[in-house]
Amino acid sequence: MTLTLIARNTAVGLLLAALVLAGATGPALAQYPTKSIELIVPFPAGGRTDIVARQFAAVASRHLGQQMVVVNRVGGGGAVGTLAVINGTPDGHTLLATTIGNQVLRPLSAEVGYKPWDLEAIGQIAESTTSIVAKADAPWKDLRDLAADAKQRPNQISFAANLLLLPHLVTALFEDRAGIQLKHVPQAGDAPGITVVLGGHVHLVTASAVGTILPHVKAGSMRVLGTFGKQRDPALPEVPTAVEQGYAVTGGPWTGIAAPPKTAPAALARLRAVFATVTKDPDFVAGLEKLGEQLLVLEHEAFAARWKSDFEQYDRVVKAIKSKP
Amino acid sequence: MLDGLAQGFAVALQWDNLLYAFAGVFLGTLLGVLPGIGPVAGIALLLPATFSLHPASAIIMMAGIFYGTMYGGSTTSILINVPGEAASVITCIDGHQMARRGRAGPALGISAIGSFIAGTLGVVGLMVAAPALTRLALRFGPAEYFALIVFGLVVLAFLSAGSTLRALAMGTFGLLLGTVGLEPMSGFARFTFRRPELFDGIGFIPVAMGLFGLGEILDKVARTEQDQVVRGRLGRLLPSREDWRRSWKAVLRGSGIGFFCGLLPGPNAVIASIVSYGVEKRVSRHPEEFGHGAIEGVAGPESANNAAAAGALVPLLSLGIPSSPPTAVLLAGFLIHGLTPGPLLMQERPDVFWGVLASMYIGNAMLLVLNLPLIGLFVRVLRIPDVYLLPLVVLFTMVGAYSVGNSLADVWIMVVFGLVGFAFRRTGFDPAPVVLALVLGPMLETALGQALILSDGSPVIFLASPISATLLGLAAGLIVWNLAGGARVRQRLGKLASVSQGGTE
Repeated sequence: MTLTLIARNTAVGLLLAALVLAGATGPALAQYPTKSIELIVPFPAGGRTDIVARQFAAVASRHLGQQMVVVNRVGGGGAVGTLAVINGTPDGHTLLATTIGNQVLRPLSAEVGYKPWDLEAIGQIAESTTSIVAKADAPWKDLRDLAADAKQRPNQISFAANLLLLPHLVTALFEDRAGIQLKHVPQAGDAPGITVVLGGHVHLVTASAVGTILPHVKAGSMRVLGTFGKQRDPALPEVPTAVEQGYAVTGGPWTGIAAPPKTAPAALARLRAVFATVTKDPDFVAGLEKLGEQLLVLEHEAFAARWKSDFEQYDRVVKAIKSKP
Repeated sequence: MLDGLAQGFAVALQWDNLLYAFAGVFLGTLLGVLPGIGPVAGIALLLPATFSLHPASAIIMMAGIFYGTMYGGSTTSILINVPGEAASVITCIDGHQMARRGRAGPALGISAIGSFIAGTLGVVGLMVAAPALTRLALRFGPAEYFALIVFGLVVLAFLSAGSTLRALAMGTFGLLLGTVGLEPMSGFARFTFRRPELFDGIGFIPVAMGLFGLGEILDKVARTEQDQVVRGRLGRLLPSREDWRRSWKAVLRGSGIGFFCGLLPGPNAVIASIVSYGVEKRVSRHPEEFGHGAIEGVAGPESANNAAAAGALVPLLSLGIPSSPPTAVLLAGFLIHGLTPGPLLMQERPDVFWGVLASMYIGNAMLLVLNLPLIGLFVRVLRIPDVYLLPLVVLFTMVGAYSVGNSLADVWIMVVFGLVGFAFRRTGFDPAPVVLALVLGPMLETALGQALILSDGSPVIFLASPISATLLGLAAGLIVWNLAGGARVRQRLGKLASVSQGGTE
């Protein structure tokens, strides 16, 4: 079936190419894409970014008339793959599946030699909801309970979160707004964080996505104190956001597509058009839903603007954390 | 539970699911045999291909790849001293010595049969004891984990065939290598030379590929004459009655150790194989044979890494928590098919839960049937002249090191450690502790930091927890025992070791 699909889409692609040629819009546009496109994922295969990227690539291939191939370039918390794309050939045949982690936060926490705006934006695909979660038998029902308790005993209540990644930084913002101090225990991601909370070793975990905590919430072993989305998460409709609870903190990890700097304008235009089609494709939307990712599309201008504003906001947070003894 | 299992077999015995289970274990064996390419890459690459399958079929196939790789991993360890994946590093020590003595067949045989027994026992354990064991595994917090790793490092120090001093030196070297990268508690960059490739530290896969793979090949080139002797006689293909008598306890112990280690987070199959090897050497009545082709040194660890694969599924299926990299990819596989493993899976999707469990019994049997006839074929690999075999192995190790993260830096790391490994071999140092300490070092540092943050800097936390206090006590006891009672034995051992080393080098 896939074969016939490919065949059909190649035919459509050829037809389109012929039409464009007939319109004499110029050889550059007519030629792109001339070969398969590499979508570089700066994280290991099987992770969240990788799966979103693979689903994007599968659907985008249909619309591009060329195969989009996912290549995992792992290392340096995403810096290696990001650098590979920044230094890649800007002809539209090399793309990056990017996240706030590798593009915005990595340059803040370590010397990587690039800044978020060194890439060209194609668009943001999805954003997941950050949340603070406790064991079900914890004394707090929501963030206000937590803040009241933490005011009584600063640096006593502990939370697990990935060092200097979004859950850590969002929690720091919350601490700042609530005027409290929590004890940060660095953990390598949501899963180990959930484990230490379930085991009663650490009080809270700031999870980077709802999908990882949902089974525990449904089973009644964990409770979400608050989420940091702009709206309530559709999977957790009964949990109020931090903003609703009186703490003006929002922040969720996003995933999107970017291209090397100075990518040929014709290729960029085509990619942005295909991006808009893919993110409306029912197969793609259904696939993201299964993963527990919220489709939250931003066009390229808004996406690029977000890189800048996120960088400025979290730059202050990282500096504040690093200046603590 | 029996109803559940019956339902599971009804799902697993459907002809298409049998086919997917076979495809999974076959691919798994293949990926296990190829050096460097392990279960993570295998499952991840196959993931998109399962999009259109029924969820139960997809998970059956992916789980098959996972435990299938544990069968194949020992093959190259035994035949050419190049571990097929990380959990088979330790198998090189005695497995390859057996091969050099013309006993490659029994070594491969015992690892296939041990894997089968451990894999099957592991599934039984997974089915019967999962909820209770999950609660036990949850009691391992940072302090308990720190104590476990300390215990692992102490066991490691007594692993090597030669002198303990040399093993300690190698272990320390591995721990030092493990300090490269961003410091886990603060993100401070250590020895990274501003290379982002080094931020996450030096990967143990390229190091293992280099030290064992390339290092061994360089060494082989330098000592070709002796190997002709091995090539002349392939020996019997299956373990003898005597082999059995010596290894059945090791298989059972390995199964238990492996299953328990599998419950804990981290590269648990690797840890399981180390601990099992250490235990076998401890309890053996002839520890002097370890390092020179003791069959228990193959039977124990190879059973342990298979049982660990089953154990690792306990936290995944009962809590939805992936405890090791392969189970993380497997979790992604569940999610893609709209399933969330965890406490509700058994109620919401009993067909998937029990179907996957039942398929693991079938899959393990398939693996045994698949692997035993292959022994004869694999052993013939030893007949391939070095001029063809060695370049091929170099190629595979290069591809393996590259494929971990599509990173050329990893290939260079492998080449450098190939030269280091060659130097180690020429000077009589065993590289196994380096790799194992490199795996354990960063985990030790992280657990220590986390525990001290939780206790506000007080080391009492390590003694306050009964689990951690017991493990630390065992580690201390092991050291004292070795210093006191072991001195005399070791003297004799040392003599023996130097004699036999003199003989083979």
